[in-house]
Amino acid sequence: MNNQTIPISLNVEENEAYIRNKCKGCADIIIRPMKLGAGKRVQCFVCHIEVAVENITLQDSVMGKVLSQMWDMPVAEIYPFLKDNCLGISDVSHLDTMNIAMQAMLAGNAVLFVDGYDQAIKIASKGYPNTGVNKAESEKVLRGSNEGFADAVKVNTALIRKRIRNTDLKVKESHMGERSDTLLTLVYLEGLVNPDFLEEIEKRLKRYKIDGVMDSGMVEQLAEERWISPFPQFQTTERPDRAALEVLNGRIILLCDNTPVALILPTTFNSFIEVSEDRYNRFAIVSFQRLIRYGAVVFALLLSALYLAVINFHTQVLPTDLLLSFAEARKGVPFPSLLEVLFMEVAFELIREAGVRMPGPLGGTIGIVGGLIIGDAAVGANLVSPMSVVVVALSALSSFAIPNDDFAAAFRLIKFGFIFLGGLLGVFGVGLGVYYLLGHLSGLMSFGVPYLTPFVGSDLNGGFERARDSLVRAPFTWLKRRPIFAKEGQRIRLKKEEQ
Amino acid sequence: MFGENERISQRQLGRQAVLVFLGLFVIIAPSVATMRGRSGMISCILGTLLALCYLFYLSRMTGAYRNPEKNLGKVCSKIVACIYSLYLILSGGFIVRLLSEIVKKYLITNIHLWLICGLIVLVAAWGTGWNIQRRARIAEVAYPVIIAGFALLLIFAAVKVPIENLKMSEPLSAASVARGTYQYFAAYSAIAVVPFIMDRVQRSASAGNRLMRSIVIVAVFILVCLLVLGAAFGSQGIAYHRVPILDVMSGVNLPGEFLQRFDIVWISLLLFVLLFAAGSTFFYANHLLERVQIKKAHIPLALLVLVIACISYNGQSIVDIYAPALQYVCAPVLLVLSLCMSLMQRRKK
Repeated sequence: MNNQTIPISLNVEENEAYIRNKCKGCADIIIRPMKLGAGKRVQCFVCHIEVAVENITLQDSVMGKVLSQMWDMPVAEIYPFLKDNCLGISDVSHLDTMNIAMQAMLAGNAVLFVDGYDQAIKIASKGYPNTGVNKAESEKVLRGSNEGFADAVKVNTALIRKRIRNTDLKVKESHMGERSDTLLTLVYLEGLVNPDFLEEIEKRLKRYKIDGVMDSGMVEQLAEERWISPFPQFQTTERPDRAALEVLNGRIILLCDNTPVALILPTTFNSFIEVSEDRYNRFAIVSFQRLIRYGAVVFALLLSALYLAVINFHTQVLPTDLLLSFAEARKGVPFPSLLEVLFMEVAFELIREAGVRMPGPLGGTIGIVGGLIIGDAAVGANLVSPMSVVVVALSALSSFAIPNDDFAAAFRLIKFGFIFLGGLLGVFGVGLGVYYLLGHLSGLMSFGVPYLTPFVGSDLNGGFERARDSLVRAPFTWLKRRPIFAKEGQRIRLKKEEQ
Repeated sequence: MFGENERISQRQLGRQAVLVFLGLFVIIAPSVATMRGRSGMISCILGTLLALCYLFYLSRMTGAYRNPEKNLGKVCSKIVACIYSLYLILSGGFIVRLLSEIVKKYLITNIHLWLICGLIVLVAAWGTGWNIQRRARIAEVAYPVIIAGFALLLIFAAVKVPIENLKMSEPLSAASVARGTYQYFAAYSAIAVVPFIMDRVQRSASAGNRLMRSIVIVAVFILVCLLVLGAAFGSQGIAYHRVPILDVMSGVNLPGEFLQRFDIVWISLLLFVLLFAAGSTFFYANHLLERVQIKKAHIPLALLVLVIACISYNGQSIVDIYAPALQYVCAPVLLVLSLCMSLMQRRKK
């Protein structure tokens, strides 16, 4: 990108020539010359992206009405009129240089140049076409808003602002991508946010230069600490209410243009197990669901491996009846149990992948039909035992009970390592794996916050209420303090008013 | 950033101590002849008191260890660090070998011992990393699970064993108690390295209290273990078991009896704590060497531990010679070194 600042010329023809030269071959960019004032002596032109700015939008805007008024105005009055009236109009702002004017146009606005006037006028528009506010499909809840983030970053910012109507909610904009010039915004509550986090994320966003950013996932990978870890170090959400809740916890939301998913930082293991409903429901129900989800993590990771360990090495732990039924179920299966489980796990991953890629309702259907047919046929053909199908199905079901897909994916991947460990070394292998995994998780940090918070580091950053919102959630009235992310000294979020 | 300060909290220090000692003591203490019956229990209590006194003494003289090179001189500090490290390497070899034998006997029989040792060294050394905070966090997270697991399993065992066997009628011998007390105290020799890490602990002045609490927790578990084992096998019967606590657990069932044998859970817990203990020896040996500017010792340390664990001469391995080595060499040497460090500090003052 050319960083040289080019001032806007008083001669509109020079400006037009510059724009035309820059936009040579860009058929979607409209440059519309006009003449204003009595006798039509003042030349001007509007440039905009064809679909991003519709004629009707231009006419309906306040600026459109101002232009209509200038149509027959004496020439001498035009410039003071522009200067005095355009300022203060909500959808209009003045631009000082050609670079900024070009950026404004490429961002989906109309830009007006008037002869003899050394500033361009940005007429805000609805911008590029996007999907608008959608339902949050991947984070469904039974209670709470169904609104999901849209593609446009400005819309997403507004969705958070709608929930936190306070000027302490700051929105800091920056751009990433040398060619895509993608808009990123950091949303946080001033006074609650830890300045270290803010400084660090800004530093990391400047760490790389990239030609284009198409999704927040690209930003995430560029800004994370340990790229080798399968665990996500930024939390993702497509729910504005969740994002707003996290802002109130002192965390920072990173929004990327053209992405309906917000990144939340810093993040911890426990955050991935939480859902926004956890705040809305009663504590007993939430605690039960939380325990189920933690159980799901363990099952998704270890069930297949432990099954292999038990039937290959430690059959003595099973009661005789169960052992016999296992043996009966495996009768006629020619493969070792390790291959059997691997076959079923790979089949499950194929079904899942096909289900995700299949259009519309076919996706769900392929999951059920594929699972039933392949499972049944594989058992019928003596390729696998029914017990393996049960174990793999339970393990798969558990992985779906983990609320965050990025997080669940990490466990699905690591599970394969555990399958080999359990299949080849039994409980000893599983034990080694668990120890190694715990070591890895203990070393993982997200912006200086240990990943295993709140189970560790309760003394960090002035301390926090570690046990009240982790494996289980305490009654709402007990959750008086914010988590570790919030600035020290700004921890109280709930207090009882004196009657 | 605020989470990365290369310091650990008192809670993390205390929990590390429990995890390091608990597994080892639960396995070894009941198999030591002097630790059985009434005299064993008295030895355990007296040994704990001695260890607490030793710890109190060590926690008062952390200043001497803060900058070994300055206090002892370059050469002398290196020698001292090497002696401490040698003790830790020996302990590491012992733990790895002990764990390998348990794994081979109880978990996976058709595999070479050296391969088990290799896997243990690999995971214990690199799984935990060489970072003090990482180790501390492992301990902090695993502690409640391990303690709850140990407590539950001991309760299940206590319910199962015939309590009428617990007679404790054998005569008390002062010599046996004295010997047992010393042996129990010698097993705590590892606390001699505590002053070296105190400057990495938050509010280090009071960190000794936390460690004392950990030693008491371990002692409580050991006493319960001795009681359960005494009831299960009788004071004399324990002698016939190489790892009595594992054997007693093989007869324990879960309520509901949906599993035939439950001892695999017990072995898994022991596997975890012993891996942690082995990792501790690597970490602290390396840490001590780094304090005296001996860098990049990770790989040689791990290899040395592996060699010590794998070597066996005339059917004797490190498991057989560790106890006498600890009692007659390591414990006295470390005690003398601690005294010397204290004297040096006083002389400097």
